Amino acid sequence: MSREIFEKNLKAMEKWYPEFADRIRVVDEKRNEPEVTVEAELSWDDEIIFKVKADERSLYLNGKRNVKEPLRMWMEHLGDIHDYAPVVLLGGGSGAYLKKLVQNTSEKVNVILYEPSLDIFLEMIKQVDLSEEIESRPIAFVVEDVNKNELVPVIDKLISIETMEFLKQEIHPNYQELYPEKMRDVLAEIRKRTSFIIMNYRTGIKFSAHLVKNQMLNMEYLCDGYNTRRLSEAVPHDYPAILIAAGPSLDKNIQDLKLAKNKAFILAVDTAVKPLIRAGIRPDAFITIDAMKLSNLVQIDEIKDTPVIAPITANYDILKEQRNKKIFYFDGYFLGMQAYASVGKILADVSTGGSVACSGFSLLYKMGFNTIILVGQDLALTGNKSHADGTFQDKMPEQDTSRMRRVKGNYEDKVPTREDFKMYLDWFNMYVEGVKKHRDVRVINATAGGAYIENTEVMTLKEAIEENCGREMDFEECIRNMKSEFSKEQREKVVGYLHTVPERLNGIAKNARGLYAIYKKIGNLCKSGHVDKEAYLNLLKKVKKQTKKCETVLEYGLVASTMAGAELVVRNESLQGLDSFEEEGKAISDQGMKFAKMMQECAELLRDFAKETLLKIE
Amino acid sequence: METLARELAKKVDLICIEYHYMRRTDIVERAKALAGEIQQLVSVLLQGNVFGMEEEEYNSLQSYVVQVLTDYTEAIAQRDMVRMADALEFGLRDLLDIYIDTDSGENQDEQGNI
Repeated sequence: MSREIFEKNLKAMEKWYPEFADRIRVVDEKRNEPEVTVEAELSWDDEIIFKVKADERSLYLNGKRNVKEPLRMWMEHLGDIHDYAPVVLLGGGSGAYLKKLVQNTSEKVNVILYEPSLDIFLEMIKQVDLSEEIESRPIAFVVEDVNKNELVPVIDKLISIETMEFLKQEIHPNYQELYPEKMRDVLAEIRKRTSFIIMNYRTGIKFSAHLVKNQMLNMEYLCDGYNTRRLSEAVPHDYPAILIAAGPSLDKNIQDLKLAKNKAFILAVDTAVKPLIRAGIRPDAFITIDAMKLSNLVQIDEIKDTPVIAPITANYDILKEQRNKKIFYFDGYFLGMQAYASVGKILADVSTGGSVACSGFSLLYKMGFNTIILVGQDLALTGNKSHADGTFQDKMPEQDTSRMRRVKGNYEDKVPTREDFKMYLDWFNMYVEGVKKHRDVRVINATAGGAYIENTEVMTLKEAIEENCGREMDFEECIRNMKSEFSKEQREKVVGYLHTVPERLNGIAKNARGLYAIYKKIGNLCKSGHVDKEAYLNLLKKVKKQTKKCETVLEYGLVASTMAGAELVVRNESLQGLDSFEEEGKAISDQGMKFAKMMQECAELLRDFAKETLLKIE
Repeated sequence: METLARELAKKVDLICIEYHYMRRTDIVERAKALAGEIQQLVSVLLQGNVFGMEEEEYNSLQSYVVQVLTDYTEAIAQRDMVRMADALEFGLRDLLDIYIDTDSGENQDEQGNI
């Protein structure tokens, strides 16, 4: 019987994910001694219940007497579950909660079931027929020792800015007793995802207009053809590189950096520029990424002859002040990439982890350096300060860190950190692990305090320089000799493409006007009382076609990034369920008209700005 | 005894509601604190057939009491929230109802509302 149910459940899984079903068959066959003992019993109300024996404890996962009533209360407590809501069940038990959830929610609800015990999971699918529920929708099963690596991608896919507010996360009774750490880890992953979305969303809203503005203004510099791939060719990599961030511990070892000048490629983050110059150290280059970075952080004349590395969206007010080379990389924004593509070239990219130091680190790795020394990379509030003196203020104030999260320190047992620093720390942990695995890059953390980054060697800056910086190299000279990516003819072609952008944006505005008219027709049709379904469906088809027409114009990316905030309102409204066909039609019409109007206005604004900025490039 | 049973029933209901709806995870500790009151009420049921039941019926009651007490003590020993909630809500609660005159309870409530 158990085999029969097992196969029936796996058959149902094959509809959505045959590979997972196959893997379950394999792990079941190869399974050795189970880690926990799962005993199935029948409850007094005739439900299969599990009793799990682990580490000298024996715990029930459902009540012996009554299974149904707690399930009813659980469902009641969950309340209305919205279409498209991500519901994460932490622990599957005997499948009773999963069954109840699936039976009581729409097929559009996205269920993720994380099971920390393979033994319990196998027992669940052997004892309980869940085939109907599994067939009804693609439930994302993530099982420890089977496909745990899929947890983060699944979370990332199902929890988005639009669905986040409907998110539900439910720990199966007694799983917090059986698997406290695993439960915590999964909840932390979900929290990480939601923080990331919130941060990106806020950044998107705050930065969207600046991102587009900077892209267009920086085009005049992009046409010079300096990029990080060319930089990598110009600078030798068999020397160490030093990445200087602006963490509070920089105050402690800033003077030691003088020993590394012309012995290592010194890259500073923008915020570290002022304290470095004041200490008499000129980096070989500095990197800036933020669209709205305070330009006074680098307003110091001595830095103006230093090359700057930036994505195309970086603050134009900073770049325009620089007299030396402006070296670009691709950060996912469209215009720079398209300008390069117009002459069949590719603008190399750099990974982003949220902070300028993350991008700086990725850049050094991609340039080919095999020894990277980190300085001032605290990712924590060393000495209760957020940044080095001389960055945002001459003397950075001490903060109350008593309520802050604590992480392992380089020199201290635990150090206080902020949520954003913790995100960057997670990124460094992940990225450094990768660079070690792929190219065995040596990462030395010479930060004089701060948080410990996994897979790094902690040593003082003096030691790191003594050990690694022996030979001399004039890196400034290397960059001076760097070649442009574009020949004269190619540059002309790039400029030619940029001159076409205003007209392309005008095309999007025209298409948006057409889209508005179709949505209006839908509204009128639904107001008439008797909706002609055929006409309605035809109009919806036209909407699809017209939207595609707008979105397939290459420059649509520019328009979309200026609509971040308003687009969300429309997108969220579109997820609200409505009762009747007419109501749905009216709502589609209202939201669609708002969206199309917004698209048209953004495209027109950008068209005018593009005329002002791009047409003047010669 | 009825008053004690009513008091205990209120406490049990509160503990269970907070476990199910507010996700309080200290159900075992809170239930453990009721041990004295539970013992007082339940021991009466085991001491003799005070309610004048049929012998068979009384034997079943005794066995039911033993099961509830076993689950209660095992839930404490294992720190098993699920077993405790089940023992309190669908086991002990039935035993308490034996002492509680439901009709008079309803009347009291109604008077209270007036």
